Amino acid sequence: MSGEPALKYEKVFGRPESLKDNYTHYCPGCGHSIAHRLVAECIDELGLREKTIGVPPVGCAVLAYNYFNFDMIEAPHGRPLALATGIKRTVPDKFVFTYQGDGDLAAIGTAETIHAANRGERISTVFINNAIYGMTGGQMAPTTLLGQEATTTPGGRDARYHGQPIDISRMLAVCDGVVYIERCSLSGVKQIRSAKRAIKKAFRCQLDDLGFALVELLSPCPTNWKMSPKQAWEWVNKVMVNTYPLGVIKDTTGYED
Amino acid sequence: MNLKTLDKSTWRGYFTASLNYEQRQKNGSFQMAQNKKKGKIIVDRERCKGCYLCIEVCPFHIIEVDQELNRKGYHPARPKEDISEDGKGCTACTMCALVCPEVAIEVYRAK
Amino acid sequence: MPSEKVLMRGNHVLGEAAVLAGCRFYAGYPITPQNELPEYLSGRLPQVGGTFIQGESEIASINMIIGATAAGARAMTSSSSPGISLKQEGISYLAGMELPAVIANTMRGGPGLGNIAPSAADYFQATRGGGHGDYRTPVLAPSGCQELAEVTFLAFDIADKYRTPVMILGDGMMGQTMEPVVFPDPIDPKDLPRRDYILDGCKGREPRAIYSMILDINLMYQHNLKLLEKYEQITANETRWDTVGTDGAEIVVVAYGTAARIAESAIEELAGRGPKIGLFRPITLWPFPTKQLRSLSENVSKIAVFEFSAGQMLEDVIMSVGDRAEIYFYGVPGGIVPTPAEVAGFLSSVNSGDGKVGRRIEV
Repeated sequence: MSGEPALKYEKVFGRPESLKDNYTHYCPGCGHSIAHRLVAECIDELGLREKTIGVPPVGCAVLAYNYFNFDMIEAPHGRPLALATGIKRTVPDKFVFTYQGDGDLAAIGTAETIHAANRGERISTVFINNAIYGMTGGQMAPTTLLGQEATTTPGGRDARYHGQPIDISRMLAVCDGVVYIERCSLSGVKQIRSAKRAIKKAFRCQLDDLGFALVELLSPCPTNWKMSPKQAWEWVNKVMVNTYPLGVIKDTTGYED
Repeated sequence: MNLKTLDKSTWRGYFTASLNYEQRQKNGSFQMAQNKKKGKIIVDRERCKGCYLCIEVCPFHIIEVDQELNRKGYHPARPKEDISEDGKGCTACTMCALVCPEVAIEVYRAK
Repeated sequence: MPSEKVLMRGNHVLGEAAVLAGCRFYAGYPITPQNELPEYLSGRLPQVGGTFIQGESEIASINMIIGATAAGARAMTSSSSPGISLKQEGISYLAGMELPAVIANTMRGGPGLGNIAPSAADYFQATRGGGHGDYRTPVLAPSGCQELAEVTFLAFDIADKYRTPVMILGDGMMGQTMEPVVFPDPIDPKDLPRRDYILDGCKGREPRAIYSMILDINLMYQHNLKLLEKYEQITANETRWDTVGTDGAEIVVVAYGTAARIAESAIEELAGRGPKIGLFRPITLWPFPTKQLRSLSENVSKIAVFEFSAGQMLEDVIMSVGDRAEIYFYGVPGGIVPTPAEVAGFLSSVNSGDGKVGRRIEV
């Protein structure tokens, strides 16, 4: 800008150390990329990178070890919480988290999810709910909304035929071993800021040895919803939240936000 | 709306957005915007996938679509070159970078 | 200094041997006839600072030990036939990710829910897959509680040395039988060589990723070649078998596990009342002692295969022997445990060729 004295700039937003520099395979506008960054920021801000072991899902995020800059181990589909249990019980001083999608956590992995939560494992789980199976091309997920079209629900999900969308977060809240569950979304500035706060709080539950914590993130999936990224945000904010309302589902942490 | 539950940045945004342009010029908050620290963003055009969520959220509309394709075949977003001199430029609010899925935006604020 | 001789049930022997061999993580689900093993470890592992978890299923249990071994522990899971079917995905993953672990199968009747009698019809499952992909699992088939204790130590060593899952194949009879055992010297896990691929936080080093998915087909091809080379090394170095009285024998019985003990008794019963009968007992079912059986069969006229199944090891014997000797088979599936007298009847039939017990296999 002419006429002004040369300004010195400092960087106020950049890539967190826990996120590698690699180009991601995620679609334009995908919630995964944002969620990865938030997780990486929280791990950096809590100083956890060098003692973190992460377990990604089978799903779009199966290659998460190419993006996160710490130790990771692949798991069979649905089993991250079983692996994480084995890891955390073996090296309890490390920070262990799982990052799972709706099929991984609430379909094939339901038993492992419920029991790790019920045992109160000191593990933090980031649950990405995009109401559809992304990696395999758009089939129905347990969280697919009624009336939502998926490749295996032509004509839309029908309650009688396919069952209602499952609210695994509320189901898990019943378990005493669970200390914190919150549902946030990645569909806007406000929402992303709130999601980061929730992720950090869930991580603190492990650091303070309180119990199992889970953050569910309603995540835009423009490709499989057949929308633009902006429309996907609107769909989350206007439609998805009616089935999956945002907010705290359980909080016995005693933390003051 | 419970004002207590809004975080600081939302509260400020709510306040300034509720005033229209003329009012702002009159009561001096426009002056405040001019004196606000300047910001600038750098978009990694090869990393950008053209989701344009940054364009959606930028409060000062200083991001536009680049007509040239990048190597992957997207039209990346880029900061406007002709940002006007009257202070409606980037303030380094970081909202664009916050929503960018690819961490393609770096934000700089004048010291 | 070896430990004192103790009288112990097979399932307990396995547990104690695992702990003495340095196992510090066990996850498993109850299934008859091996429940005494998790029950024993639930008290024993905490004594040595280890972790015992009763997993919510056999599937959860195999996955827990994948995590535990990746974090550096000597880890074991166990089950019986139907539960081992559930673990196959996990075993394939362990093989693909090149992680060590021990899986103990105390076999029972099948297929399906089967029964709780000591059948031994999981030979195919153990040695051919039973999971997906190009991998092999070293399988150790002890014959009796003393050998069970020894192969448990061996299983962990082979697993660590070659970075592979290893299976211990017992049966319900061995699991329930009490026998005198002298355990090998205990191993302190701290004395084991530190594994340089485990996940223990990336402090002071580059982050590690352990995975088995390799989308690039050329890289996957290379990975499979690497696994193949590993299996060739295991075959060259770790094949184990035992022979009893095979020198100058005219008939050689091929049997493993509990069946081998009964065969041995049957051979003793017939001693001096006919041609010399020897016993060839594979201890590693994979790698199967093919070369050794092949050269042995060149000097005998009849091979008599005896199994608690409808004929699974039989196929490996046919592959090894071919037409070098006549092959006879007596298989008892379903969990029936024949007496030595009945097996002696089979061996007499083999000798006379009357086909009354068992049958001749046309090759």
